[in-house]
Amino acid sequence: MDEMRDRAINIRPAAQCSPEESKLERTRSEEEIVRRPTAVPDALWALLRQLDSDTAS
Amino acid sequence: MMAEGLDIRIDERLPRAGSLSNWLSSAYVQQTNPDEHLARVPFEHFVLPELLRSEVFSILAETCLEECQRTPLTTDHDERGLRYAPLLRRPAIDFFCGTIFRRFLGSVVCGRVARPSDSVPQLRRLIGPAPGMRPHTDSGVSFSFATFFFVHRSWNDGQGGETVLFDSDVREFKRIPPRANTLYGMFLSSKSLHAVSQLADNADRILIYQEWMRFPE
Repeated sequence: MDEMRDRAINIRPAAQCSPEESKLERTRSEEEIVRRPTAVPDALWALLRQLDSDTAS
Repeated sequence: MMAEGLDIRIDERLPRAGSLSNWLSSAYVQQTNPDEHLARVPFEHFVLPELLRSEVFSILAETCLEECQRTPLTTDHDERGLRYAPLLRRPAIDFFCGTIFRRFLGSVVCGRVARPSDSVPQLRRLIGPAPGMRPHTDSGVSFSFATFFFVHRSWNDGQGGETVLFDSDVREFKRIPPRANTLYGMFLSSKSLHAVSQLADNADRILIYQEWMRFPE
C-alpha cells in the first residue's frame, strides 16, 4: 500500500524522505545519472571530433 | 556493442548549420544580452522558449519523431522506461554540436563552452504513463551542465514531465514544463536539487540531450 501511495504522489520533497532514501537519491553514480547509448557509429564519432575542433566563425 | 542499423542520415529539408539565423528565432539572433537568460538561483539554469524558427522547428520535430521510430533505441529496464539513441540526423548534429551554436550557448552561460569528448548528442523519448523522479542533485558528473531541447511537436502543460527546482531548504522554487521548442539548461552540483514530475498517460516527450563543459572566457 505504501508503495502504491509513493507511486501516486507526484513528487515527494526530499525533506519527507528518510535519510537513507535521500542519501540514495543524492548519491547516484555517474553511470546511473548519465544514460549513454551503447551503440554509436564510428561515423558519428568522426563527425563530432571534426565539429569539436572547428573554431571557424 | 555493434552500431548495426545506425547510420547518419541527411534531412535536406533542414537548413545548413553555417549560420545562427538559419536556425534560431530572430529574437535570439538579434538580442544584445543573451547572458540575461542565465538564472543563478537556486542554482544556475536557463530556459530559452521558442528557440528555433517555427518552420525549422516543425521539420526538426518531424525528423526526430521519424528517427525515434526508425532507430533501435536503448531502453532502461526500470519503471520509467526512458529510451535513447545517438542523434543521427544532419544537419541537426552539425548545428547543435557546431561552433556557432557553442558560441551562442557560451554567451548564454557566460563562458566558453565545449562538448566532453566521450559524449554524444542523444535523442531521448519517454512515453507516459511514467513515474516521476524524486529530488536529487546529479552532482559528481564529469561535465558542467546538461541541455534538454524539447522536440515533440506540441505539449499540454497538464501532461506533467516538468523539471522542478528546489532551493537549499528543499522548498519548491520553480517548475519548468517541457514545452515544445524550448531549450532548458541546468548546471549540476551539490546545489542542483531537482525532480521530475510524473508523465501522464499517452504523453510523448522527445528531447535532444547534450552534455557540456564551461570554461572561463
